[in-house]
Amino acid sequence: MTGFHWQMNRAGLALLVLVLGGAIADAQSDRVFPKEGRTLTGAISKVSAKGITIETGGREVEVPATEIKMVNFGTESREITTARRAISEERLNNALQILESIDSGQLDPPALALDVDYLTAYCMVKMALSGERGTLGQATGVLTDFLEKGGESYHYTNAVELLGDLLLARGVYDQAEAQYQRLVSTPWPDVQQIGRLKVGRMQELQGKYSEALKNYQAVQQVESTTAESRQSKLEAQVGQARCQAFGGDFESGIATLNQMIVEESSTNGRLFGQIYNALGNCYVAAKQPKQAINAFLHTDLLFYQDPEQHAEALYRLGELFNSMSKFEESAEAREKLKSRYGTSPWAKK
Amino acid sequence: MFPNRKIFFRGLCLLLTLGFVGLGFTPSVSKAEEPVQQFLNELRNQGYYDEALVYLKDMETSPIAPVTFKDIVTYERAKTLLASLAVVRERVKLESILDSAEQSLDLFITEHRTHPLMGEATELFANLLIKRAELNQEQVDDEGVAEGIKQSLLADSRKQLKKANEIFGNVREDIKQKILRIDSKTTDPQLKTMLGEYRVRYMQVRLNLPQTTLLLAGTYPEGAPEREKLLTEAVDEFTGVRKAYQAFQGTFFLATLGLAEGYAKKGNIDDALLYLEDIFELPQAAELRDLKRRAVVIALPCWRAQDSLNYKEILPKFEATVGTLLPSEMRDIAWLELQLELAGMYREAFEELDAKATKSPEETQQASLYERRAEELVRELTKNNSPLKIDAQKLLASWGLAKPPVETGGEAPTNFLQARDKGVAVLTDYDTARVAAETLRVELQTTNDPDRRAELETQLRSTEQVLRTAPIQAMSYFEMALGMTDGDTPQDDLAVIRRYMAYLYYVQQRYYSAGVLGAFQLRTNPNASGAQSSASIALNAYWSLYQAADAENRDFELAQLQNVADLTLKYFPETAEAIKAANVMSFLSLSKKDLEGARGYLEQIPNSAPERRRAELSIGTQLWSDYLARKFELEKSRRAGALQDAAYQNELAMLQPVIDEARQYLEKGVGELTSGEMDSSTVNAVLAMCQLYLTVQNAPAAVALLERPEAGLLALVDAKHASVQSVDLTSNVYRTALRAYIAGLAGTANKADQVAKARQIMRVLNQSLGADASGQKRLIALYVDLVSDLKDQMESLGQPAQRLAFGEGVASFLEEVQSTTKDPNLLIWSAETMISVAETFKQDKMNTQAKALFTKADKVLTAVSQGNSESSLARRAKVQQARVKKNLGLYPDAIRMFAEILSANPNFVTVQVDAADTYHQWGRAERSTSKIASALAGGEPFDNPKTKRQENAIWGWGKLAQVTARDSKFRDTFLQARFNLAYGRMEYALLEKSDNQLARAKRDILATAQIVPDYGSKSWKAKYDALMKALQKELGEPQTGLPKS
Repeated sequence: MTGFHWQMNRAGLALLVLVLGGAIADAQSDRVFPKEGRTLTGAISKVSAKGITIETGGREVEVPATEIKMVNFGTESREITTARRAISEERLNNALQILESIDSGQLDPPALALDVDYLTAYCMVKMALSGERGTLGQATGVLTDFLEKGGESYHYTNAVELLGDLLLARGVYDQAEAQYQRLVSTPWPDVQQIGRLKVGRMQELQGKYSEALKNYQAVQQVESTTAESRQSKLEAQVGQARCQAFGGDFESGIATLNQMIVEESSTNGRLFGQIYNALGNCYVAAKQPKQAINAFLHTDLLFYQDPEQHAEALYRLGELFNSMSKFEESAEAREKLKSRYGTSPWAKK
Repeated sequence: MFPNRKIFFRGLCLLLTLGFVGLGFTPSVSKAEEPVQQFLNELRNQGYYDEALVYLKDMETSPIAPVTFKDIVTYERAKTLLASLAVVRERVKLESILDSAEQSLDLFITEHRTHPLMGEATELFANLLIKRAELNQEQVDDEGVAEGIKQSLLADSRKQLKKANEIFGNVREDIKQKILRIDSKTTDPQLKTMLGEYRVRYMQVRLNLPQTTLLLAGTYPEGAPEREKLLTEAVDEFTGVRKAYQAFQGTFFLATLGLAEGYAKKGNIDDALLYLEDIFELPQAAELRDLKRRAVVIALPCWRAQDSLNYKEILPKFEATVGTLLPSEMRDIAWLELQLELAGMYREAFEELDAKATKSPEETQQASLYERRAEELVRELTKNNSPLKIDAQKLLASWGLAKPPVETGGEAPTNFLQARDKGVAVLTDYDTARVAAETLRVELQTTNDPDRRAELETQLRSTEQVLRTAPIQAMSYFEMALGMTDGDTPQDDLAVIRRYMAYLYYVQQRYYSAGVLGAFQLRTNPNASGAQSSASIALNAYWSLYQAADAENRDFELAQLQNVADLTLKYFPETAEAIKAANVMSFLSLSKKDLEGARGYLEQIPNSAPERRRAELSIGTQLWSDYLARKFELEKSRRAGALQDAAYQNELAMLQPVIDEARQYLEKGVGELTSGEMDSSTVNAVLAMCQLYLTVQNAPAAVALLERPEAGLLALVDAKHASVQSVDLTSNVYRTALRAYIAGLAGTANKADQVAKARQIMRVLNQSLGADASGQKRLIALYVDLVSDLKDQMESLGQPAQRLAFGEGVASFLEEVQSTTKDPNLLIWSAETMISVAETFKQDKMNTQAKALFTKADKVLTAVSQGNSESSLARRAKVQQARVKKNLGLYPDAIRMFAEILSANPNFVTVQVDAADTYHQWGRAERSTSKIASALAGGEPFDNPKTKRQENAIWGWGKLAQVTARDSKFRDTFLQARFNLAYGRMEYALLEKSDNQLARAKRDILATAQIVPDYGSKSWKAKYDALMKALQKELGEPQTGLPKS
């Protein structure tokens, strides 16, 4: 054989590889990004509410839903991938613009279509909750649609939690409680913990303090050392302090919360927002308005990242400043509450 | 003007640097360098003084440090501390560093007298003395310092500088001898090195000497012969140094500088400027900058002293040196002050040109350049927390430039840094506007020119607009910035934003928010930039809340203040913020009567801080107040008969430590107060000290304090000073003064003078208080209090002989008063005081003296009664006369008079007590059961027109007890009445030999406890218990006293 012939064969071989390789790549280009560990590339063989099974490197790997950070389907368009990235970077407006232009009914496999539906619902819910765009009612509609058909999506449990959050934001605490209760039935301890935590919070908001207390205590008893579990336990501790205060023992609540302020890092903004709000409520119960103002101001000025906590703090500040005849400060707090969290139950009180 | 504080250290560095050129070798002050020494030197050179100190501490015990180095650790420590002065501004901290340095040097000098570095150590000590002298001079130049203190500081400075000169003189001689001992032509390398080092040090000392002389000259006022002499000496010496070291440029130019300064201070301006030209003509090199800066400092007053300023010539020289600063100079206040001066001079130059009616195009352009440059320099100084920010803002305001130039093109910020920077820019404008508004308002108050007023008002309106809008705008940028943060935003960046927001909340009087942000920064990130300011904002915010809160509802504010104060003291000790925090907490502790807490915080205020004295005075005043309160309680018990004399004296003696401590806090400070420092708090401190002096029988010291010129209390009252405007305070001053004059009579040689002063006070009192009925009442109340004061004072004297002398002094004063006044109030008061003194004489069994005084008092009272029909006066006189009769043993007269008074006024409880006691004394004197019975049951029946019944005018102990049983105001009177009832019954029983009466007396005692549980107090219970035992003894019962409750 001459060199030229070999080159031709080489070219042909390359072309073959290119053609076959493309087909092989299509069939094997699903990727599952777990929260920890390396990315799994292969072919997704099963998707359910419990998780994803992917064939990779000649074996099947099951990734539980709670451990999935992101999924890229081999057949998804670049726009969908871009939208996912935008969501991970919290550019929800950008993401939604892209997602709304996609007809999920045309997508294959069905898991991808459900993904797009979920991501769309997610963006609408989050933006409605922050007051950036849309109403809570609209978001509820979209999310409920997803839940009706998304029983086999690995996002299902997240969607249940989101629905609970929406119902909480709308002030329908008993319905929110029901949704969060479903989380307690999942097979994952961390999710059960979050479920109990949120159920407890809903019970608190309905004045069912002894039931809430039981749920918070159950959260503390879960044997898990993950960071999420620790966070849940800390938040449950805050919840317990709140229940103590509302049950009349505000001194214990105050002591517990002050201890947490000393022991925990103030870089945990979400926790500290809860702690200071709880502290503020304890001081309100103890009829110490100045201390209560001081506590709620910590949330308003330093730990405002959680909209629900911030909204509550602003509401309480409006009331407290008014009770102390500081009418300008009271008006400012109320104005801030209405302008930033107009859809929140706190703004409607 | 004193040179910059870095004078010697920078000079030394410069000398060593320039010395290279002349000497041709690298000088080294120490021996062969060890790595440890090199590292330490490098740390110091880079300005890492704290690290150097820590390193030294480690090296003290580290095995890697050479033994030879360990020997000089204290010396190196002192050297490092002195070098660190260059970066410290706060006077309190400077003094603390000097104290530490001196301690270390002392230790080195004491333990290493023969060490080769002894010479350097003593020179270092001389530099330390010079630094202290410089600090003293700064204090002298401060406003509001009393003349006495200034003179004292200058005297200290002179001592320090003379000592420094002496040291330098000795060192010079010592080095000279060392140089002479080495052959100048030696080829031995070690000797050559030593010779070189000695020559360098000799040069240094030759410069140090005239420099110290110049400083010493500065401690004398202009025109003083000592000043002229010293200046001439310095000039001569500098001339000598210049001549000797022409080839050594460093020394030569430093001497030139000194020479110019000397001529400038002598007033030889032209000579000074001529020599300074040599320095201005030197090349622009980094190592020459400080020399040139000092030349400008000396040149400035010389330029200004000239008839007219040649700006064209001066400004280029000034600009060349100061116009552009090196990064290391941008936080140095010495350089920044010169920049401000330069800006001022540009502005003057501009105004001079601008004022010309006709200008050439070049002049117009020049004027514009000057104007722009002036503004540019000052605006730069308003940025970024420059130390001269406020001065720069005021200057801008005075030029009518408070509003910044309008920014063109404002895009919305798109990231955290942009938003932050925009916020900071607006905040800077706000700050500038604040200072400008103040300046404009002040100028408006003093300007009458209508055009200028209109201009100022327009500027003020515009500035106030900025004040209204800027905080809101700045806050919105900062909130925007916070909204653009994420988990990766550095905490320090967040800290900066929060600090600014805390400040904005504070100026908008949102104190809760300001406090939360400020305290959070302090608590979580004390090492972040601006944490100190955050602490200050938080403290001020909570202080504002404290002041606005109701007095009964301040727990929250107190807790926050304590938290912030304690953290400030922990993280920023000895700073202005820490001193303020300690001062506030000391005050608050006192307000809670927590003396221990107050003392603890006081210890955290350095001795040299002005706040220290105030805090000490407040604690001293509180201690004194506590002492008086306790003494009052003891006296109350004694007067009520619940405490015997011996026990009273014992209890009083146990209070001596409180007096001593109060004195310790008050004595030094009150003597140094200036009139500018007097307010109600310091006035109370002085009053407390005067009263303390009187208590320890040092009336002359009290008088001296009251009579201090300008700041003494009497001078303040005369001058109608604001601090003594309240009627109560003025009365208190006069009352204390009267006490002091009267009490001092016993010991003074010049009684007439003292009496005259006391009479003068009484005249002033009468004039100022006695004009109307309410004034009269106040006057009488004051005199009554004075009687009580004098009685207390007399009784607190330990020896009868002392009491006799005191009493006689008082009596002679009173006689003087009686002989020269017809005022019935004054006469009654003087008689009451006489009676009081006589009663004390009687207690001391000085019956002759007592009788004499009682008789004199009686005579005066009779005259008053006869001369006055006005019922209250006549009644007062009669009451006192009755007391006199009682004391003289003229019981029937006394009873008659009491009955006359009480039949018209039966409810005069104190008179009822006197009357019952008169019966009782009568009964005892004559062993008369009927009189004792009258003491118990009352006497002198009369027909009461009000009740239309026959009643006893004198109630006796029984009815007294009944009437006072339910009124807590008369608790002591009740207990006294019940006690005397039981006691009288016992006396009656013993005379009548009646067991029945004894038993009844016992029942009297037991019944008392049913109305006043446990007999009201320990001392009363003890008395009742003793009486019960006496009764039990008489009844032949076991003497178990009162039943156990």
